[in-house]
Amino acid sequence: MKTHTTAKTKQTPLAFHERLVDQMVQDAKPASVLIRPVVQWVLWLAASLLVMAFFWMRMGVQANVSQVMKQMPPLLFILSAFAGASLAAWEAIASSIPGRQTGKAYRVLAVLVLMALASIPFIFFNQPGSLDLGKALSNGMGCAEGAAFSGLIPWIFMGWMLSRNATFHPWWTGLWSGVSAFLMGTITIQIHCPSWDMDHVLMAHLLPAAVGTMVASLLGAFWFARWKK
Amino acid sequence: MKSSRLGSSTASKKDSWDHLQWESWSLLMVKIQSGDQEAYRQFLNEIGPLLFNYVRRRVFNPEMVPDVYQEVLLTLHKARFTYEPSRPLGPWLFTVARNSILDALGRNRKFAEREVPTETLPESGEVENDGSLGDELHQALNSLSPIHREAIELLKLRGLSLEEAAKELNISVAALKVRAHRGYEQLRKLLTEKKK
Repeated sequence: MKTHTTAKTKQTPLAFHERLVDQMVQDAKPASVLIRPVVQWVLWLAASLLVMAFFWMRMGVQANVSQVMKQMPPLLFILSAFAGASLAAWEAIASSIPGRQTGKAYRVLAVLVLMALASIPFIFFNQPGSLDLGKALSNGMGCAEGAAFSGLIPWIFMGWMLSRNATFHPWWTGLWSGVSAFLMGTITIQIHCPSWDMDHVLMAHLLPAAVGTMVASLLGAFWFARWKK
Repeated sequence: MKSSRLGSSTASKKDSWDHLQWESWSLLMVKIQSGDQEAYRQFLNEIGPLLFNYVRRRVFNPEMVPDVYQEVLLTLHKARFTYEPSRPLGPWLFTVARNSILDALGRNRKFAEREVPTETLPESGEVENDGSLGDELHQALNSLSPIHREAIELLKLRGLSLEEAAKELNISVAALKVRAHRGYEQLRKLLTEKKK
């Protein structure tokens, strides 16, 4: 007990410690308060849903959307996209706050949901007679742009929130922020576009999310590391 | 049986002492976040030995320990607003420490790969023979940041050895090499630009 107490109260045997402490103490201004991670997550989800609603009001939704959503494959696709986006958003937020990192089980769950999402078009959606992904992309360029653009606004909001936190893994945080935001774009466009063909969904609705995620991880590697400078 | 009871009693006293200690640091962190300088000083002085030992156990090169420790404290300073008072301090503190150690070691490894030994850098005599370049050198030196200028002045103008200069600046030889290297890089860049 005695040794323990002594060890804890003993000063660091380094001359620069005092000097460093002096500098740090002089710079000890009141710190901006961290918004609780759950609040950040809920705020982001609410903002993303508002953005979705705005786009649906501007672009419209597919005519028989309520009928389509009664079928299992489209409902499964939308639900897994929303679950994937929500899980990814939490991973992005948690990874940007020290001591809040998620466990391996959480990350495995998120990856499984995303894999399920990516496999739904292959299993359930209309298969084309001959697969021409290039043609599917050029025909669906309007959808691809819509998906990217409607994912961009949630990503900017997420990026702003995350840049106020302090991640030690900026690339990783950027990656998950991209997944979450651009999947919201995929949902937005999937509710708007009446096509449920596999090639169209893959190239015009899901590919922008994949590209957006890559760009987000590259930008995140720089943007989210700024707090350390 | 008796000794086992005694053992568990000592362990539980130690645990409760630890718990109280962490609680008190957690309260200090709350004060620090509101800008209390005295609380900050107390916190850093109390947490310092713990962090220093944490660094020493993870950094195998003893010369690097003070630099990495400094890095850990500076990162802690920058990240202090991310501590949530409703949560335990330990996981937050050690996440910050562990990651800043990894960052510092990674940077050092990258630097070591590109490191130019200071002994092979141009001697000040080579430039002093040319009067105009001497003026330029003087100007360029003045435009360096104070820590880099200080390192170059001690090594090249006063001709101190690495060990002597490090002792005078109260830093490790490794840290001095880093400062001198960065100073030379800046100096070279400034002089090249002026020549153009």
